[in-house]
Amino acid sequence: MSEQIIDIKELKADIVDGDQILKGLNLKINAGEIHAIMGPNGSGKSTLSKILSGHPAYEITDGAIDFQGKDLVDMEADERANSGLFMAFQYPLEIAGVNNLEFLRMAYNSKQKYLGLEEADPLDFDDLIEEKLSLLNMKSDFLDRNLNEGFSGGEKKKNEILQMLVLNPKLVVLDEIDSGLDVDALRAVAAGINAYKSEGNAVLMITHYQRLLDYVKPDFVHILSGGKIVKSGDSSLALEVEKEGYDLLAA
Amino acid sequence: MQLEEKKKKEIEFLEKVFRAGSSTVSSISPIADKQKKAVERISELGFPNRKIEDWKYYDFSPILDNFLSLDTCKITQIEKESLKDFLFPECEKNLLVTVNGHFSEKLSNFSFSKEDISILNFNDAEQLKNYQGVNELVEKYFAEGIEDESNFFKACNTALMSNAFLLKVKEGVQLEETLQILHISNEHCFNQTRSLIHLGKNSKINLIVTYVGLAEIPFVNNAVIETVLEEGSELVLDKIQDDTQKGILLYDLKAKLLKNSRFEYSSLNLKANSSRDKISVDIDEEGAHADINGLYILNGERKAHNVITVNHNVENSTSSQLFKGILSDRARAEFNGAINVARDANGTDAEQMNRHLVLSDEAHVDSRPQLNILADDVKCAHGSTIGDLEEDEIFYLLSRGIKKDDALAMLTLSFCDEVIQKVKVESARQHIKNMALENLDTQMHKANIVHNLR
Repeated sequence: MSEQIIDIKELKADIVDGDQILKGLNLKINAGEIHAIMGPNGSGKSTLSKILSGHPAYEITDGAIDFQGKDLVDMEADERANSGLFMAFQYPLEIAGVNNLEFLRMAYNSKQKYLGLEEADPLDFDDLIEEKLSLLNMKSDFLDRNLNEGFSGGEKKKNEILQMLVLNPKLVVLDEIDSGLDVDALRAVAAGINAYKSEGNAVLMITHYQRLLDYVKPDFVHILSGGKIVKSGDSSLALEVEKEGYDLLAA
Repeated sequence: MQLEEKKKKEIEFLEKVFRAGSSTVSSISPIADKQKKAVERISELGFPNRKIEDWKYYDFSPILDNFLSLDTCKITQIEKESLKDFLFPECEKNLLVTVNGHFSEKLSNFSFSKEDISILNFNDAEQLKNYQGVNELVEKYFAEGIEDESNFFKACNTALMSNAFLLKVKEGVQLEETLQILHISNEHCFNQTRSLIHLGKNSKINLIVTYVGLAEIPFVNNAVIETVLEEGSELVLDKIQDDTQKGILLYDLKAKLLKNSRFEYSSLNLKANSSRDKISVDIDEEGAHADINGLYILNGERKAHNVITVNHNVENSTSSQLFKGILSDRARAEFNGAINVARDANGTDAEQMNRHLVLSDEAHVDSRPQLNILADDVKCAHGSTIGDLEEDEIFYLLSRGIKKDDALAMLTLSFCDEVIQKVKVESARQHIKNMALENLDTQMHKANIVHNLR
């Protein structure tokens, strides 16, 4: 049996001082698997990604999350990241005055340091990043710019994938990575995900549409509705959703 | 301070300035005339108070408390080695140094041709005699506005100045190198630094002016810069205020912009117990542009005041103002910025923005952006924001494994960056970033961040 990456049990969560969004969610992901969570607006998709990555505006009220044998609930966001969890943001933030390349190196070195490994000097790091760039069809002047500042929607998403490739996490949570992408950018993003994917890691794609799944084929598809997973199946379930809509499936 | 004691100190201040002012009159007649006028005005006006609009939020007591002797304002021996933290390698060949208001020939260094740039000492009558047009410049542009009650300290500077400079860039001369003007204070005194900068037609110069305190003792630095930009000229002026934590800075900049000239100014207040920047820009002919920027980073009990006026007096000119402040602990900041558009100044395009990052509940900001528009056909915009760091931005960095302290430092620098990037000299930008981090309260991993952010 393959290694377990994450085990989410009876997870209940809400917006701090707000409504309950997740109402008892169960999900287990093993190494080598690609999972897709689909669901209508307001079903709790984005909340799940924020809860997993440790956003302070959301809180877990009940349940457990086991990540690689550690209790994720008690870990700060930076510790989760350094332990191998990566969330690609639906809306990556623009940070003026922070150089993209230096940011990537800082993030990379934070993880190296956390794991007790050697930090990369600028030259080593340049080599490491060159190959990732070509994979995503990105020009290297991209690195000289400020973090996401003035990037197009497609460039921002590619930059998320670039970060993912550099940090090489155990589990990737892709929050609506396909939103706002044209076909070329979608292909580049999918190529990045497929290049990352291996037998030792796992992907959780959170998406509204089936479109991305044409390029990255999931092993499991789950339908999230009303804060719970209401149906699970293989990739054919996504096609059913596309055809029938969510209402029918959730019913 | 008790009212009576305060009055006593004010009178003592006035008497000292009056006495010293009467005895330090220049031997050059148009300068002497203005100095005499300044001394007269000081005794007529009396010490300023907070009823004057421009001084509404200013606390005069540190000046009165720390104002001791005028006699100690002398040049002291300083080795160049002790200045190395404040010198920018790009300006190594072009450096003008004053110590406690006195010109230091030993520490200064010029590679500019004397044909292109004249740096004249107002005390040196012999030197001035050889230059034509000096009297006319002094009469027209020197000590403008000293009769106004809001300009009391400019009048003091005029009365007391010992080494004032006239920096004259010859018509058509365009210099790409930067001249650094370094004003050092290391005595407990009331320093006057003064310069009149004149750019001839179609000339260009970059200046970086730094105010540095070398000793942790209280002093009051009373600085005045007047500048005139003739037709088609361009002045880049970056001012870095790098005083010690006990320094009090009074700074007065007046710029006069003539046809199609361009003025780019950035003010960076990094240290000092309190600083007050008064900046007045007069756009007196068409096609001129003023770009006025500022950054102040305050912690502890420190204060920064910015009183800014941009006057669009004629048609078709443009200006922009961007001032940013970061406050922590019990720091206080005042931003009082006005754009005045005269009745005939159609075609004016002016904007102003003031942003604050407030990192503590006890810090205090008074922001008063003002538009006074008398013309009809103008485009003016202004705004003011006060906020904390964005939670989502912090989270974004954390989610990439970056520690919270580092994330806060990065975002704070990111807030400053827009203003820091206006500074032309690269090593100065780096210096400002270092200072910015040093000033911030959070326990940051300074060396690491600065290294990584270049």
